[in-house]
Amino acid sequence: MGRVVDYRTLGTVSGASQDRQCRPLAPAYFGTSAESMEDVEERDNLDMRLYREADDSTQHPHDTESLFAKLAANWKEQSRFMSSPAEMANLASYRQIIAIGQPAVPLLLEELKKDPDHWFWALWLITGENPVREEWAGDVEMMASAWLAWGKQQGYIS
Amino acid sequence: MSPDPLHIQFPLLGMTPYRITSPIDKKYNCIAWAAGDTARFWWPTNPPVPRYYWPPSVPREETVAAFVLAFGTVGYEPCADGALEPGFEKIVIYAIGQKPKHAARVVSAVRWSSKMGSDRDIEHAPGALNGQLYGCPVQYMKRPKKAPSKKR
Repeated sequence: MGRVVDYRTLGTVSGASQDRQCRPLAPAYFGTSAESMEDVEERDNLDMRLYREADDSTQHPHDTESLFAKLAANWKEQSRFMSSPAEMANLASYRQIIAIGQPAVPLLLEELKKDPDHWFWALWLITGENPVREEWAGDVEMMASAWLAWGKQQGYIS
Repeated sequence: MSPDPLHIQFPLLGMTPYRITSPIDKKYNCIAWAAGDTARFWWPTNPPVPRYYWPPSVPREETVAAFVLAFGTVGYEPCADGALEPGFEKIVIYAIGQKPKHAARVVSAVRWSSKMGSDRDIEHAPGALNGQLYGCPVQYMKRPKKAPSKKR
């Protein structure tokens, strides 16, 4: 069996990310299928590389916006024919957006404002919040509205 | 001119007749479409991740068995094949192994109707979407057609 890599023992990626919770992207968060320990380790090690790469971009806001725009466009293209939110969230471009962390939150919310899409998983992972009521589950427009209302309340967007 | 992304993801689609039957609509996915719901995205995600719609009484599992139960809540029951039967409408579940990937409505012997993820609805030949993304058809289901309501 492979060893599971635990982020919490590896320290922060860089000074800029110290106030960002680095949530492990454990397999339980991505659908319900069981995965081998080797799969978990491979995913965790990939996550650490993605975190470092995305974290480098957060030193300069313009770089973050450019990187985000590129990743978002890439994700939309790759996920357009998928029906599983878990599969969509597992795409490398989506995980890189998650890895950007807090700086991605206003960008994700602006994306929701322009064109409601499945950014809910990323917002939940980055912020730890879930403002979507149970009865709105699956109603993409209501889910987006809930996040936009939350974003205005938190001061991320106007 | 760059190729249609549909042809890139579904190489067999470009080799058979198909037509686009709706604009892009992100409100619903293929599972919802097959169930007759164009207002919600159906998928069995589990807390703590954000929930999507899933029939309340059905296990939130990504298995063919759970998807059969989900379609059962809107009147479908398993059947042997996609051959049209008078008085019945049919759907088909695609999977890779036991992991559901897609569902389509059976329109006729040569035409199925699919919602392509967050993208468009299309009508296509039965085998046209088989491949890496959707797997292949594994389970057919049928339900009695509703009688059309009488106009006053």
